[in-house]
Amino acid sequence: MEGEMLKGHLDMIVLAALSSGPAHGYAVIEEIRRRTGKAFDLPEGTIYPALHRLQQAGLLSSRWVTSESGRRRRVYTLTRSGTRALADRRAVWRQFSDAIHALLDGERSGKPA
Amino acid sequence: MTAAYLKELADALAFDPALASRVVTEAREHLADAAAEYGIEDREEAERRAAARFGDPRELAAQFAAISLASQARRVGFGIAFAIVVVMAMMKARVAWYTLVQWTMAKDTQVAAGIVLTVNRYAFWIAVVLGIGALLHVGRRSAPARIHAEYRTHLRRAALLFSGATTALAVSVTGDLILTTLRVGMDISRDSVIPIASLSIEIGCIAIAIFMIASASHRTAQAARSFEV
Repeated sequence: MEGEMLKGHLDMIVLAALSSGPAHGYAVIEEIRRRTGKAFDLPEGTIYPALHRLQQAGLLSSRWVTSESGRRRRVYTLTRSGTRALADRRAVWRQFSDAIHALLDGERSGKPA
Repeated sequence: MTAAYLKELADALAFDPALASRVVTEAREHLADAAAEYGIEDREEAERRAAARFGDPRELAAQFAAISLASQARRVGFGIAFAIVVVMAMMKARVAWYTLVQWTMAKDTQVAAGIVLTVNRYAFWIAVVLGIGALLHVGRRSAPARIHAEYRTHLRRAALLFSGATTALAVSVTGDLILTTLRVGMDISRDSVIPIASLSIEIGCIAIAIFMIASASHRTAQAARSFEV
């Protein structure tokens, strides 16, 4: 899927990826790949401005975690507002998606034979 | 390869050193994971592919610029609100001190003091109103994906409200300075320590607010010059 098409939905994608639990940036990318069957082709770095923006909006919280190997990673977690925002966006998206389906299916079935 | 990429990213984020440090740390770990995922012996090639997948550093910096400016505007807003609260606390502390030590104003200065006090009060409440307005203005919208002309206008309005609030507060503090001088005059004694100290704190608050606004304006101009679309 084209990057430009995804950008408008990136915040929702990131929130959805974090709904399965706290994760650092690379794990978020992996989760998106896993759940979408690698359908999204987006520069990986783009995830970080989205994570920072969502944190600034209070939808995510984050903290530094140092692993046993000494690597420092920023781990992001959905906040309560983030969980609510994801539920709202999911509902809006389903409504939108159903409407588009209905439109496209209607167009197909309405074509003259 | 990774080091060169991270240097380029840090340079592109130079408008916000704290953000640059955090993003570079996150990117370093990400690139290490991505390069390891390739599982190839040619480390240089793995790092090159990982950097290519991460994206153009300038493009990423452009996205971070909007976030940085939004967060900075909030910081300045809270800074000015804090300055207003501190100035008010200092005024109240001084008045309480004058009552405690029964320090009254000389009769020949009371008319002038009355005029200054009126200006002082109006200026302070104008600062409060503009400060609240500035906080509401910066809080009503989140950071956009990129800096664009409309967002620049939003930031310009925020800067105007910040400047207005700080100017009004500075007028109020100048009023405090005149009133304190009229009351204390050349009588520097133990009793005058509280008025002088509280006034110094007020002047310090104004200086910090002016510094915050100036550095925010500088950073906004720098980021907009580089990344505005």
